[in-house]
Amino acid sequence: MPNVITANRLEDGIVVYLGQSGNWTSDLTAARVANSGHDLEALEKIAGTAVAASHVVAVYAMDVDLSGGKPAPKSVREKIRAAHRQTFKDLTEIEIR
Amino acid sequence: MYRYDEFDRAFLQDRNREFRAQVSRRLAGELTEDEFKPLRLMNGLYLQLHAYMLRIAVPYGAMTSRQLRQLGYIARRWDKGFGHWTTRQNIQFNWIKLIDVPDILEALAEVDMHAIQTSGNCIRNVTSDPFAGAAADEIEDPRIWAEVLRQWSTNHPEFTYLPRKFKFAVTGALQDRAAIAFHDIGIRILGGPNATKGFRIFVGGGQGRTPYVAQEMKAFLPQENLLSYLEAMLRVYNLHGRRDNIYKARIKILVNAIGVDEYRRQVEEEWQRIRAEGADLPAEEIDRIRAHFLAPDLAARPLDAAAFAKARSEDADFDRWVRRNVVAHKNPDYAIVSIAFKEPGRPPGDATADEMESVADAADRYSRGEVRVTYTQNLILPHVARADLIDLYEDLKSAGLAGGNTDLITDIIACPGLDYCNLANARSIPIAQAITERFADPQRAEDIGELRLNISGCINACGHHHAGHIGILGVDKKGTEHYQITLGGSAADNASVGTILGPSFPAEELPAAIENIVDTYLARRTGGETFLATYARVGANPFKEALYGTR
Amino acid sequence: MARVDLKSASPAAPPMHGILELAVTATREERAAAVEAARESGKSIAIHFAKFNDGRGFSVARVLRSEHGFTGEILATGHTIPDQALHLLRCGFDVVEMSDPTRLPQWKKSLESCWRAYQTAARNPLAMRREAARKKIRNPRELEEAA
Repeated sequence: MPNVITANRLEDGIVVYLGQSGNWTSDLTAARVANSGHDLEALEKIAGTAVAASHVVAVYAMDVDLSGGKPAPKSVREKIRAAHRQTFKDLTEIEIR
Repeated sequence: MYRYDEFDRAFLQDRNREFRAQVSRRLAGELTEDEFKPLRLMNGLYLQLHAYMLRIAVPYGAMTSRQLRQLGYIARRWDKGFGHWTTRQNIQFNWIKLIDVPDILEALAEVDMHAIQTSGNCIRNVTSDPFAGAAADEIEDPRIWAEVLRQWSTNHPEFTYLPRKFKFAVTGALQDRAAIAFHDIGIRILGGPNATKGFRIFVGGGQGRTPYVAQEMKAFLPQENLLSYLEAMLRVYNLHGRRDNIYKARIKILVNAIGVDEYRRQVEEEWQRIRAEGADLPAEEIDRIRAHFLAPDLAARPLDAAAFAKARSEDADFDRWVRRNVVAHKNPDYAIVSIAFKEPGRPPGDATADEMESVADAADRYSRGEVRVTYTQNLILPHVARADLIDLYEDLKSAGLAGGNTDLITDIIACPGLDYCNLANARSIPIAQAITERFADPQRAEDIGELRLNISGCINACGHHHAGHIGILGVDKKGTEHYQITLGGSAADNASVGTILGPSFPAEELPAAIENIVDTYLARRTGGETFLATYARVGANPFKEALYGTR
Repeated sequence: MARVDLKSASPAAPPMHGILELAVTATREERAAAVEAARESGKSIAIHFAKFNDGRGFSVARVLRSEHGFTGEILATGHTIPDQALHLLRCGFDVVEMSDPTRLPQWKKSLESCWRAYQTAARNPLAMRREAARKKIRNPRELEEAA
């Protein structure tokens, strides 16, 4: 905790997060944050409906860092996913650490 | 090159129509993701970190300039303008939309290409010698048999839902350039001008979590019995391979659990029973396929040796390129030329659409329109007249593709790693780039000599780290990317699995550790010894001491 | 349980004399015994798919046809998907118990999805690559009509 729900959109595979109004957004800072197991269950239920409706796939909850006020990724994997890199030349935007 | 006829094209159209319908059913919710997944994988489509990834088959790594141009078109139209040559001699695109895939497959079919069985628990795209049909040491063109296997394995009714993926490699030369020892089944063509042609069959090689060098299955299999024998091999595996644990499902685990002798006994029993059933191709069908691979009719093109020597002496880069990237052809007027995709700043094996078109143009101008992909993630022009080498070099130089570092430390094999891949634990590309930059001085790289450095971002070993003279494996250590180093692996004729040197390094310490290993080698080598030879002679201890001290 | 007949792409009746279940892990002796029992009783042999991607059932049906020479009905039970229809037919299955009966139209469609094959199997109803060079076959139905 805190968590947000992430997935890939079925039709194009892009990385999305479950947003405030049950929408799916590619902007992690606009994702809805679950601060308790109870909150998370509610979000997972919404996500389950979106899976059943063939809107998203590969749904899971991820840890986020709220120290900057808005959800930010914690793991390297989630930093890479959230960056939505566009070209093969801009690989160095995430420093090797 | 194998040319499709009406039958092959119609098959592909049926298949593409079927997949288009499957995609529609998935989007409409008529297929669950669980059911759709194996169907999309069998058509080369993965879901990765950022998008779908489409892996397109380049059968046995051979393609025409027209096909390469079409890959460039696909990169530009449906991806972000680049693709990635893979260690299975294929190409993959990383930013594909599911809804576009049926159209992409149609565009591929226009040039007789597809993405069939580049993934999934089925028989995968067959790999082979990238110098096939051109190599000076060739017994028979392995593409004939790779094509026989491609056709036989395509949509096989019995072997489409195997316990796990299944990889074949075929070599037809004296020197193995297809890494057959690291395949589920490796096939070596035997025979000479006066001998009966046949195959030596190996089984149970592979990398991944449990690396094995393949064992000999059959010392001599007559050519005409290939398919019935393979049917018996695959049937025993399909029935008895483990399905309860994905990491124990490859044939190497079965073969090592029951022993190669027991596996052979079961296969021979099955083969004796079925060999008259008609699985083998009739001789006329083998001849039909063979006729597609007749040696090209290469005109005599004598080289102006004096002018060539002068050009080499005046341009050190050209001279190095000739030394490193030009290999003897069976016709002395010709050469096999390697095109490097490994210079500093480039993710190993990535190619832009413009570069694909440049190589296609060069292939048309200098190599009878033929191009090959190597498992080391470079391209090959197989039939270049030596008299054209200077012109070809100039063309490649203007395309930014004239690096002369084949088989040197900067000719790194690397998987896409955590930058793209859902399975990865750590990134491969920034590591490859940091090492490439550290050894960017071409003179120094050449002084170090032949050194295969391979990087995988996870234990699945797509970057062939087990077979690297220096292997690097990305691991996740409490949420940070760490890298384990192995030494002494090789995919050549005396194949071996590398040995882990010691504890892993964090990413920022890794390039210095590699440099330390190289320095240790340079201090210990005698004469013209390669890294691998020195390692074989002195063992791991000097390298351990250099990296970890004498603790 | 709704069934589809793979050869006619139409709903199939329940097996007339009942079924005899054969595990995908059966040994050669067990397979032979099952074939013997099925011949005597006229029962169909049922091969169960625990999951559609457990491909052992394909090989089991294949050897029932070729090794044991079984000519009676072979039934696929458990989880299979319509996209496997031609694989099942070619490996020797006659009938599939549909895990999802609403998919009958899709089973029919899948049976006509591909007319061509590159390899031999227990049944070879499709146009074969190795024949194509000799005859100009378009699809097996045309071949039937021509015969």
